Amino acid sequence: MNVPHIDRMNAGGDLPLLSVRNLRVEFPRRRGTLVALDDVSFDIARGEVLGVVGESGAGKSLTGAAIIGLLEPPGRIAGGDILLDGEAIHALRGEAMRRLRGRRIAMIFQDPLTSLNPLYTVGEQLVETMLTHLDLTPAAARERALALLDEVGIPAPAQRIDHYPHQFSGGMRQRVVIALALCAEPELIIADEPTTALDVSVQAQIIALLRRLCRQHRTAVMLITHDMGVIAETADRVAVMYAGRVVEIGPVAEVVRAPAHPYTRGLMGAIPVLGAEVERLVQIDGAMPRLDAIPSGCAFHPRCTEASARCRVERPELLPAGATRAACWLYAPARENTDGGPQ
Amino acid sequence: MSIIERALAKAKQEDRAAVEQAEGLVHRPQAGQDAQGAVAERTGDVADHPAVAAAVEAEIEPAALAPAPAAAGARRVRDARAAAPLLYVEDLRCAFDVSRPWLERVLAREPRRWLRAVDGVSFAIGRGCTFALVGESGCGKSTVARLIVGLHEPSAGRIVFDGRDVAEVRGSAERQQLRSRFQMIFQDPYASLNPRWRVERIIAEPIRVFGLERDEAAIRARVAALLGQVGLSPADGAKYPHEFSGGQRQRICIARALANRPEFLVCDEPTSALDVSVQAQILNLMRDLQDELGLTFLFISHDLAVVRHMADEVGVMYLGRIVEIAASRALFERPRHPYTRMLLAAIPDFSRRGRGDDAVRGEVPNPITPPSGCSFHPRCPLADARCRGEAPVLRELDDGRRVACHAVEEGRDTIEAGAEICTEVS
Repeated sequence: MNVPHIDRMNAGGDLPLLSVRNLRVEFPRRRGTLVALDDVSFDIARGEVLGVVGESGAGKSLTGAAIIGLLEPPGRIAGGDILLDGEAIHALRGEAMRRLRGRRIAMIFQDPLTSLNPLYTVGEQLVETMLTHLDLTPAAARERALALLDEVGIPAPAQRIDHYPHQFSGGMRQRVVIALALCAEPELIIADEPTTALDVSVQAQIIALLRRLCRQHRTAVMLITHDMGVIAETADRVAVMYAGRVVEIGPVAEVVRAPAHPYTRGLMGAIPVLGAEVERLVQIDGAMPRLDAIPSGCAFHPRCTEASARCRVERPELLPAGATRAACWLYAPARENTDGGPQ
Repeated sequence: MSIIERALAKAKQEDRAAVEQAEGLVHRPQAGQDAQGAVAERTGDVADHPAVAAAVEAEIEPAALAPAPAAAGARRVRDARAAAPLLYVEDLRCAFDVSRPWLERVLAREPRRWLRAVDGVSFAIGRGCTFALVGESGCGKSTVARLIVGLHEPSAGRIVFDGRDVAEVRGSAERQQLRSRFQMIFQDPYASLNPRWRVERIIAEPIRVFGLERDEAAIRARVAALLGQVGLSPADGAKYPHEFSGGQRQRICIARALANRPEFLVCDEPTSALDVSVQAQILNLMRDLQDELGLTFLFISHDLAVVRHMADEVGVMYLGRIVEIAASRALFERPRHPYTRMLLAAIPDFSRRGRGDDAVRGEVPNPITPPSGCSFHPRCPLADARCRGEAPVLRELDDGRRVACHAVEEGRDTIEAGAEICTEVS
């Protein structure tokens, strides 16, 4: 069952597992087209956890949906490439996409109750997924489902496997969803706000579980969340999104310790931290622009305290800024030089 | 307990002179013109109703205002213990009937079932201070908020606002006068504004309901001033809520809450629905308004970092009970109750990358069938037979905090946790 998987891993070599290049997602409307994602590029290596962080409307969930082919019409990929292990997947349709989804890329959504079918027991859902994607007998699939439920920390899996989703608590349900995502041994898991609906004590357990399992299975994870704390604890690298663009990307420790982009700096300062008492939080005035009114040049310039004339007209590429890369003219070399392609 | 006892003792003094002094000393300098208006309004109301006035003069009003003189000096000190309580609740309880319908219940021979959402909660909030209740979902923190503003009826217990038991206030005029001194800010600014009303009408509603201004021009001026106070422009009054972002809507909610010049605001997760950069704006605004108007906050949140930023004193709730109550700094620097420690350990933090998996265990049990004894015992690393059988009560420790834990009381918590606490201190 694992043979094709291992083949792919060896063949992959130094290629990034997922490579998103200049992705552009549009929503055509009667009055003009909304550009929801504009020139988004990033890579995820095998076994790596990439955090994607941003405020609501930044386009982080949309990036995930575009990768797994779940854009809601009329949204469409209008440009760019999505390569999984060197193979273009953004143009896949119908059956080909369906075979990829769940098998090679799995998704974990925010609300575990809506991502499980209330009419089937969790065992039936796990077995069905495995029979769809893997060459297993029903008995073997059930055996594996039991093992998975045990692995994700569900007590008494032999009884729980025949329970319905409503018989589980929120945290336990999210564990089932993780088991479901892992059951076909995918290479990439897109986790879209996996812990936002959970209480903080349960969140800590789920994050730890996800991190442990992905390390064991060498699964890459794209972790989409608005919570910088979750990213800081879980991710290897982080991409910060703003108004449909990646504004900063780099190793998580660097971004947290020394954020380069003014937006990231503001975001980090705006978060109350337990370790320190501050009189006032850093305040980014204004709000994220609406998609039909994205400012010219750098989309952040109206809220940026360091904006210059150039920021208003010219959009910055991701430029090297210390240990990270930031889309900000502050880091432009003296001579204009934009060799800084995506990382 | 000492705060409450002190307050009760003070409340029993019937000194008319102190009352008058309190009116002059406490309210006016506190909130400047705003409070002056409120005081004038209140005395006006009372005078309008001779029966009420008599009753008030006889006993209620002195009791109500007697604790105030102590607050005059203490207000500026943001030490929750030093300030005289503006509000305290005592042994507050609220149970919801979650039984099945009568016929089904009788056929199945089931007893009635109760969900004890709030189970004996007591705390006091000093004037001008922020008291926060934290806990996970289902711990009863929002129910406490709703009990205090009168959206639910308590099953038992007392809510005493400014020396007066809220339940004993009879008569609609008097009740209205009391209610006009509190307001509430809700979690979801999308659901708490009427989409069919213009913003100016939304903000003017409390002014009209409490009859604070009769003159339309004065109402309009007040609404414009309120919009300015929360960082919106007076022209925004003509718009509808859907034209605003989440953060701006929450500003509108705050303006509405301030419209009747309350002294006390109950904020139920006011920033949970907002993004972090907007959350920072709202939290800063709330602190500015508190300093400016001398407001007292009951702040409900599940986010411990936000609570640490906002609160002077914190109560940690678990399954309807307060398990630890302490000054904010003490609580966060040296949590004592195992649940508080677990909650703090669970917060994802920038500095604690890659810690062990087992800092936290278990989930909140079903509140309809809470565990015996201490309701935290199934998740507690320090639980023993006593914890399983006997529910702990809040006991005051040396540093003034109160903790409901047998292990802390018996000193059993120091063995395992001592090292951890020491490393944190050093």
